[in-house]
Amino acid sequence: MSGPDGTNGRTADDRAGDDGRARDGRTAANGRRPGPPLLELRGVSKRFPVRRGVLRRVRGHVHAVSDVSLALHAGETLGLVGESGSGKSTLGRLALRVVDVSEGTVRLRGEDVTAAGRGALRGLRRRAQMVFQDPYSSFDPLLPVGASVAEPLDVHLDLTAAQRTARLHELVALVGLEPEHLDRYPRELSGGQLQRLAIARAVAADPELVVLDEPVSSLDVSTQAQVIGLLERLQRELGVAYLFIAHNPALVRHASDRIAVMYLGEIVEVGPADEVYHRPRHPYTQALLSAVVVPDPDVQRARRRIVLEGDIPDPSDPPPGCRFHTRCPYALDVCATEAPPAYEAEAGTTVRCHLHTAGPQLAGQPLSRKEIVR
Amino acid sequence: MLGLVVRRLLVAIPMLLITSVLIFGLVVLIPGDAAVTLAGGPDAPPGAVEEVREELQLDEPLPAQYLDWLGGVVRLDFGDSLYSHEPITDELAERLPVTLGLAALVFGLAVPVALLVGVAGGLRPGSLLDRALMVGSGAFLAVPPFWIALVLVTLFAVRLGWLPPFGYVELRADPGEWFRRMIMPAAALALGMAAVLARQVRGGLADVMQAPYIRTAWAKGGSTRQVVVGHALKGSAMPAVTVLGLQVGVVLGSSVIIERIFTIPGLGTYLLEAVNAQDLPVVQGVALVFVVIHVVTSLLVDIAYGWLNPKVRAA
Amino acid sequence: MSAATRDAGRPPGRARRAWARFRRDRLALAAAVFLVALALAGALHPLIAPYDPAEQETGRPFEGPSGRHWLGTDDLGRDVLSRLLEGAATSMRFSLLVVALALVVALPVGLLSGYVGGRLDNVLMRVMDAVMSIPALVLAIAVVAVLGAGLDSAMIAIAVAMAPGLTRLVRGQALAVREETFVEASHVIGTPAARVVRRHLLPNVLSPLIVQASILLGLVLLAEAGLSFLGLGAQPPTASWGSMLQRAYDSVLSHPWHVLPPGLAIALTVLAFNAVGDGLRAALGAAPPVRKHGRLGLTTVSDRAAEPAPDGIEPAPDAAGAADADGDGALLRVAGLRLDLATPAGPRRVLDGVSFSVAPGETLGLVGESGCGKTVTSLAIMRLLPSPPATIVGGTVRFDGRDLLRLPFRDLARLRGRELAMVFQDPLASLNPGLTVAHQIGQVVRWHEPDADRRAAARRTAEALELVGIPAARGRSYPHELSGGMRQRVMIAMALVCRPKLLIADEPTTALDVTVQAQVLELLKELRAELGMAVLFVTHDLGVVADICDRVAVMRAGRVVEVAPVRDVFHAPQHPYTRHLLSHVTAGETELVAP
Repeated sequence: MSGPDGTNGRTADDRAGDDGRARDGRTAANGRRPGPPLLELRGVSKRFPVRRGVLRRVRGHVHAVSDVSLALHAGETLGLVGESGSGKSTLGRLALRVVDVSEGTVRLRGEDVTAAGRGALRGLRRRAQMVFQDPYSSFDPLLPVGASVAEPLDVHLDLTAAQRTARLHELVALVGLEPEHLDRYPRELSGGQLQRLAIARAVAADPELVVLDEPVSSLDVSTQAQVIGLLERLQRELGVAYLFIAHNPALVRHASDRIAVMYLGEIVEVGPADEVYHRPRHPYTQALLSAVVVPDPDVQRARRRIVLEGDIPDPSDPPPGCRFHTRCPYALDVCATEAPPAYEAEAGTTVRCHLHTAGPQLAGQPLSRKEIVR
Repeated sequence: MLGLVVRRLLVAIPMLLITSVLIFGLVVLIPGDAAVTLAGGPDAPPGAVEEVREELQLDEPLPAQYLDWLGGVVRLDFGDSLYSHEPITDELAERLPVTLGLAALVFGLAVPVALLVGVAGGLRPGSLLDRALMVGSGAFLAVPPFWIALVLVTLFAVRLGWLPPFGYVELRADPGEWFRRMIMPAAALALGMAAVLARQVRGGLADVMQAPYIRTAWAKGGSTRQVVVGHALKGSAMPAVTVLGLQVGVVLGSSVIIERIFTIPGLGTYLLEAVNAQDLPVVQGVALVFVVIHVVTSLLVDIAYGWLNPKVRAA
Repeated sequence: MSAATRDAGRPPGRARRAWARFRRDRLALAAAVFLVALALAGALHPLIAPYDPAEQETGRPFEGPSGRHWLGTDDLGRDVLSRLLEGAATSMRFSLLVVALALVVALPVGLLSGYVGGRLDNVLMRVMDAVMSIPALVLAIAVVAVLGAGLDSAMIAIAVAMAPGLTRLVRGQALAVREETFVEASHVIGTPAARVVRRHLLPNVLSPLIVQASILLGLVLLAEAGLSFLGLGAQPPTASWGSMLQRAYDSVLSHPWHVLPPGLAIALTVLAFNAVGDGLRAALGAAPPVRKHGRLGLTTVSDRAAEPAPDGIEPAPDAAGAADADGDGALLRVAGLRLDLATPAGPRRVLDGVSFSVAPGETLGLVGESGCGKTVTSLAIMRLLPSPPATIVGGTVRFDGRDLLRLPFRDLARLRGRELAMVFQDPLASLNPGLTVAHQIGQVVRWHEPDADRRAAARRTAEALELVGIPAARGRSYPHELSGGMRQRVMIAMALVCRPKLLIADEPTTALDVTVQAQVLELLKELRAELGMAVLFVTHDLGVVADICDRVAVMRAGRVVEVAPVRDVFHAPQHPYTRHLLSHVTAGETELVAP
């Protein structure tokens, strides 16, 4: 087991200095790092039973996450992008074992999380934390927020009252708030302030990994920018790794080293952020990125939009073959029958699409030359 | 819709089974030797004690007793009264329509009044009218129905002499007279029920009027009548229907006392006679019939709920 | 563990704040005082009662009220007041004990059932349902029949009858709290289950439980009175209000007056329990009551709004918009619109002189951050904000030559949905869950064109659905059966079925996914071109503005700070606030320049 034990109230500075978790710079982010990844998912699937009828018999399964393999390195940010029903939130919860996997393994620093017993799980809880979408509902309305922020300290660290207070003050300072905010109740604070406190709570017990589940989606634009800025600063100071989940690719673009795109429970494309954004290799990634609106009328109106037909299929009855083939403008015959393998494309990207193996090459071709299908 | 009915029926059956165990289980609670107690205490003649023991098969192990009893009940044979030695089923069959008639009249009185009052208040929550109606209904919530009955008797029977103070005439024999004799007991029960229901309708309507889909209806250019009747009422009916189901049990329970006050020969008076005579099989039988009435009405309520809410229908 | 110090020095807690609010509720406070006094009087009745309640022939039977017997005497010549006081003791003790007993069962079982869930929950709830299916009073009578008459058996009987309902309440609440994000957060933190239950679940379950317990006290009192009335509860010589009523009932034909004292005592006490319950409910949550009402479905315009504003002051707060609102030939012209929202602390000015105009066929974006008043503005135009709390206190809204603020409801309703229509942010909540979408679209036609028969309405509905790309057959669906994108298309179909001149779209794509937003934006652009309607597009998303708007009005704190063509707003913003908004556009967004 790695990670510091019983270190009371260490400051962010000594934290970033010791062990191998200090960031070795963004430059390395684009390539594969040596050593085992911080978080590794191998062939992870999650099926939720669908119960119907009087006897609540299992009548089928929602395939929330299907055969996902991913790695996240220490100090890195992996953006996980997908729309509703893509399974991105479930995947985040599987990584923290808030939800148990149906198949596959999740490893944190090589340690199998899926098989962890009660004791090991406690260690995991301390090293991996989460920030949720709705800042208001992530705090107990009946407690002053300080009590909630201190919860990880109370559960994991054996602090004296003085140490506890000192650590709390340190944490609020870290997220740019005042100690007096700790005495307030959730409804007395703004969404932005609460989300800062939620972040303080997440990093309170010095985790190595924080899963950010749409952390800025319910905030105003100006607050969004501030919170993302805070997250980036904390990563520099604390060396924490993020799994940054968002439905809007624009939100994670700047903060992420790598991006993974999910559709209907599968990761269709993963690679360095620049590659995924500038040379999207999967038709869904292309459509998704083309759908993002750019806040500049000249640019936005010059862009070509790939408007997808229809809705995302029912995850309890996913289409056979490639799950995107029902809406894909380029679908081939093979797409309807065979699931595409993960194809390692150039520049460190992996894509699941028959066009890269069986069909005409798509990679690198600008979208504008393609047929726009409505 | 049919699926919903079938599902609810399938849920009701195990529930009735559990209830039957509970009701039968009453026998376990009898202090001392059940046979002696039921036969009238330590002074009871030994013959009577043995008779009771025989009749209820108290020597058998409990599960066997239960299965035997249940076996009878499903064949609509509730056994014989320990007191009159008459078959309980016959007596129940005679009294059930009396109680059902009373209950029906209670519903017929309470539901329209509750709707009227609830809608009037719910459209303008906090207004003078609303507050007056809520104070009024609050008062009826607090007053026990049997007291209302006493006041009604005092007023309409004793003072004014308009209505007979008690007694029962069969509906078939003379509908007009039936109504004259049932109106006071029914009103005594209906006022409390109407109060509960009116508050629910009012609260539901006040909530629904705030709902975004009501704003949509206004935005579509609906008149007040179109918006309230076409959209709000149905939405506000759902919580009221749930409460209606719960109120059935309350009304059935209170009807026991009311029947006694007005000497109506329904299930309630039968139950009380049996309690006084420690006639356990009758108590069990009547209780079970009350449960069946309750479960059946709940079923109807569920179906009404499904009709109002398409989501429930499909689930 | 530093539990002792954890909450040291925190500000007034929930109980304190609830008490402060409860105290201001005069009725509830009076009821609470009455109950405490009654309980005290009951407990002290041997000391304060004028007679021994069981003593017979303290006067003649059935005496009326007098100086010696304030409430008269009963059939045995006992003093009614003294018996009422003893009855208070009997009834209060009974109610408190029964509710305590029911709570002892309901709290742990309900919490366990709700928190653990699964099979255990299923079994427990089935049993509770079964007990609840026996009418409470019937169950109580049956139990008393077996245990023998008396207060003790009645107590057990009623507790058994009351516990399941209370358990269900606790369980339902626990279930709801368990689904809250903050409980999931505790789970992620690794907080032990016992601590989660103690610290988060229990306190959150408590508020509704306290309210329910107070209401239940009244119900138990009624049940006890009923049982005692039947002679199954309190046994002579113990006085209880129910048994007093029974004796009074025996002589009701000759001495009807005697049913009043015990009956009123029961009614007043139950009333007090209910009032305390209502007071607690309000103190522990819920909004303050509203008093004055305007017309349903219409924002009130205060009389002052009609008065012309003092010269030279009116346009000042909103010069940018005011200049725009002067424009000729506008379809919609909002000028100096001011709106107050009533709050407990008095009226709060939410719109402070909003001015802008929309030309025929043009799309105007109304942008700003949350709380700036953009949505309120859009709703105020159609006067859709409920009064209370909203009141329009100034300005004009001219639409196609008419001032919407001076229009009577009937005339405004004729415009709504026909000439100016609206699409809202949350399509699921904005559609009636109990009606098919075709029915809801058809309503617009039927409401506005009484001549249109069912078939015509159905045809128009089908056309409207086809217009937004939904097969007419899907019209038979209920809103919950459709996807988010489909629902918003239905909303658009509903808005456009009568071909309005102006469509007000309030954040119509905010609740949608990125690719679905793209679908809806494309659809709106197409329809705008096809139908030639003007659009007032309310949004916080500058990207959406860049995509669809011709001109932009930037709002801040209830005012329009800048109105300009879309290119100027992005490339040459005049107002500092506009520049501030644009500065927050993240690099991620602009980098998506690719084709």
